[in-house]
Amino acid sequence: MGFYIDDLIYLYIYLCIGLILFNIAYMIFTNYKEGRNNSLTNKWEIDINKQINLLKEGKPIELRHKVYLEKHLIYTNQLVAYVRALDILRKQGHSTESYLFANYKSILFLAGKYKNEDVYDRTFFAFFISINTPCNGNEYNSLMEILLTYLDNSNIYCRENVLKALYAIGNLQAVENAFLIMYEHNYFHHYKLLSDGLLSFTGDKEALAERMYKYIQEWDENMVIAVIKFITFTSDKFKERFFLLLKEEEDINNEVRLAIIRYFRNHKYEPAHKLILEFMRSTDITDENIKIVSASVLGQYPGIETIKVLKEALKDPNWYVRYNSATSLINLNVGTSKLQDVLNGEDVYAKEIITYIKGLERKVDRL
Amino acid sequence: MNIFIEKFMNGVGIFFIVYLLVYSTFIFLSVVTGGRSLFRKYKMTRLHNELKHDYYVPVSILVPAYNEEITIAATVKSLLELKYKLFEVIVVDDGSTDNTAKEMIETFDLQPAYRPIHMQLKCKPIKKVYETKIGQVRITMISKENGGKGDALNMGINASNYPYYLGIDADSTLQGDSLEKIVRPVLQDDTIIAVGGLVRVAQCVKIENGVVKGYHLPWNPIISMQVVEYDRSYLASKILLNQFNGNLIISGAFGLFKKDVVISSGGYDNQTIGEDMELVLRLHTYCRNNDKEYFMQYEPNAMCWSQAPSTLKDLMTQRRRWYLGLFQSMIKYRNVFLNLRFGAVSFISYMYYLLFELLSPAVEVFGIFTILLALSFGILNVPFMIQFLVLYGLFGAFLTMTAFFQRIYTQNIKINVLDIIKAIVMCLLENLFFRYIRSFVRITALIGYKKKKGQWGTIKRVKN
Repeated sequence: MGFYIDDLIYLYIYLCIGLILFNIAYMIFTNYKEGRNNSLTNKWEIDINKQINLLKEGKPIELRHKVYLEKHLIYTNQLVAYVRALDILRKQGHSTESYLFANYKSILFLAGKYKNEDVYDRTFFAFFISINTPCNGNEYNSLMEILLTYLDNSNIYCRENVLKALYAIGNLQAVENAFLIMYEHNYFHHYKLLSDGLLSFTGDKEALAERMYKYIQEWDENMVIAVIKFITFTSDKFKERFFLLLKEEEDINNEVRLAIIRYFRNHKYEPAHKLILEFMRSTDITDENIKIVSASVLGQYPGIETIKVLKEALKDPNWYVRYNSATSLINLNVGTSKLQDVLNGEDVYAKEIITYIKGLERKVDRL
Repeated sequence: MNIFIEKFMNGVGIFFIVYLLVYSTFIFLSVVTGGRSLFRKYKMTRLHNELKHDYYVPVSILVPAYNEEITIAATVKSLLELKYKLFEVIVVDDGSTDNTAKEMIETFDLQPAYRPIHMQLKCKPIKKVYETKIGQVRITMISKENGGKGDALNMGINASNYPYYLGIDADSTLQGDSLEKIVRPVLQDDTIIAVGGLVRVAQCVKIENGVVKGYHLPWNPIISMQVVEYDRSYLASKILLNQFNGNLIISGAFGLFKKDVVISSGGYDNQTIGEDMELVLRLHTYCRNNDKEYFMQYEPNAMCWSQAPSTLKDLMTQRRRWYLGLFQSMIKYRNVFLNLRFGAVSFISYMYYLLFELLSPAVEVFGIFTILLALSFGILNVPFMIQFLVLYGLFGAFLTMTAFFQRIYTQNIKINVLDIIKAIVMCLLENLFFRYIRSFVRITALIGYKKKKGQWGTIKRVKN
């Protein structure tokens, strides 16, 4: 039996030697490929530059160039070199926009080809479109339609790059469709990625906000939070609608509720002020985060009632409610004289937190 | 008697053959899986298959420190060079007897602060809090009574402002993009509660402004052997275990955690030496007992460079601590053993650590005993034994070389011919020599265990 383990170890050693040889061969191949890619990039750079100059002179792009694009860019290595070349030209101060627009049909052809490639290559093609948009978002077109098909059997990176491409193009319908596909396929895409992405939309953001709002009662919590965060940084036209949601929808998800309350920090709305004060006073609220966020938002709503509620909240058993209330009181410029009752009071926690926040404020002044 | 000995030796032979067979196969599969995974990651990065954003989640970086006057300021300075939009640094001076606090106060002009801290996790009392802000980064230093590394980390968690924290060692250096890379997985999947990064040996790298400027294997064989060993161990078990959420260790030198889950599970155990492994086992237990969907990810592209011991004495001290940490955690979470609720965590990960890490000293002592027994009865085939030992050592060396070169090419590190030769020599030395030191440390680790179990392990530091 001792010979069996011997044989097995010999086998493993041979396999390891094979792996090492593979690594060495791969390193050599990578170096060679890197050199080849550099020369490919140079070649593309020269050719693209020539076409850009033709466009500047008012002439069309050569047919030869278009054929060349369609023939070679179906290979990912060529596309990588092509993207690099465009990048270099932009860094040199050339505008590539009209060149890309002039090549729309070739790029559309390539989009169709990449549709059948594996997910890594599709993802890269979407990345290419996200930084080299060959059309504007005025009309819903075939390129957007093809990019949306990339979302089938995709992974998170592919979805992210397709979304980035659609945001860069800036068509409302395309982004709306992408979100609908994501919802229907139950794809998880972190709300932070979605909201940051929506903010990079190059079209009419107000109109996009309106489109997205239509689905606020339909989509899952993650997508809804993304939409609310996007609207928070985009539009003040949703005050009334969000207020009604906050007030009347009792089944609303807590995270969504928090996102709406935060909306009222950026966009002041007096009816919401009263509602937030009620949240602070309420003893029925089970989710402490509601009070924590409300305490923070009240820092934007000056008033005697606000100060009274916040001073009371300094005694709240929850540390974060006390912390945010103290911060809000300082943000509202409530002077030391008006806080004497807290500073001289017996509640150690309240005293402690307000002293700390006031200390921070002094440090900021000093800086 | 001879028949009995012969049968006993046959039994021993079968046991060792099965043991080595399983171990070799596991390690071999690990290296192959690791290589494949790194290759895929390399391709993905090249083709921009990644989540690149300007803003990620805010992170609190926790640096527990005990007698780290030599490295602490350099470490915090390196953190200020991170290319990341929103983070804070919290240094917890765990009752150092040297000038750790003074070094921090003078280097960063820290000011005393009257700061109430939300004590969600139990830890030793605070002596003083200092704060400052450099650029957009708030630096807090908490001086507290000595309570051990776990206790210091608990204090850091209590003082942190953000929903995720990154625990690093006081002698760790992060690359400029390390924080961004370790955070990215969190955005991929909202069930991720922890992410472990790749820890590598700092003495072989030159970092300027958060960027690697040079990579050379040091001449000191103690350090060089650890370089190749780290590459193998991180490539080997971690990536394979990651395939089924089975990692049992996220290194304390570089690990990101979701704060609320850690707090809910009770935080770090301040009675344990291996607080990093204990926490991971605790999180597995907590999430499974509460039917919470979770994943602990390993991200090999997120890199941290940590100082390795440069003398044999320091190395043995460090390895002794590691072994005792493993011993404590494995004993404490013995309920994971053969437990269906834990699935592959129990039947693969726990079993691997139990058989090939924790029990390996016992197996080795037993092996030596049977060799001596066979020798005394004149039934030891000495040439075969030597041939087998050499063969096994060579197998280990080839595996280590495979891991090392895979790491080099997938991370675009340029090394010269001299370093390649050094690496090959170190792979051989590591397997033919270093592994026996490791075994010796493990065998003797439990001596004096009760007396030293709560102490910080100190090794000699040099300036980064």
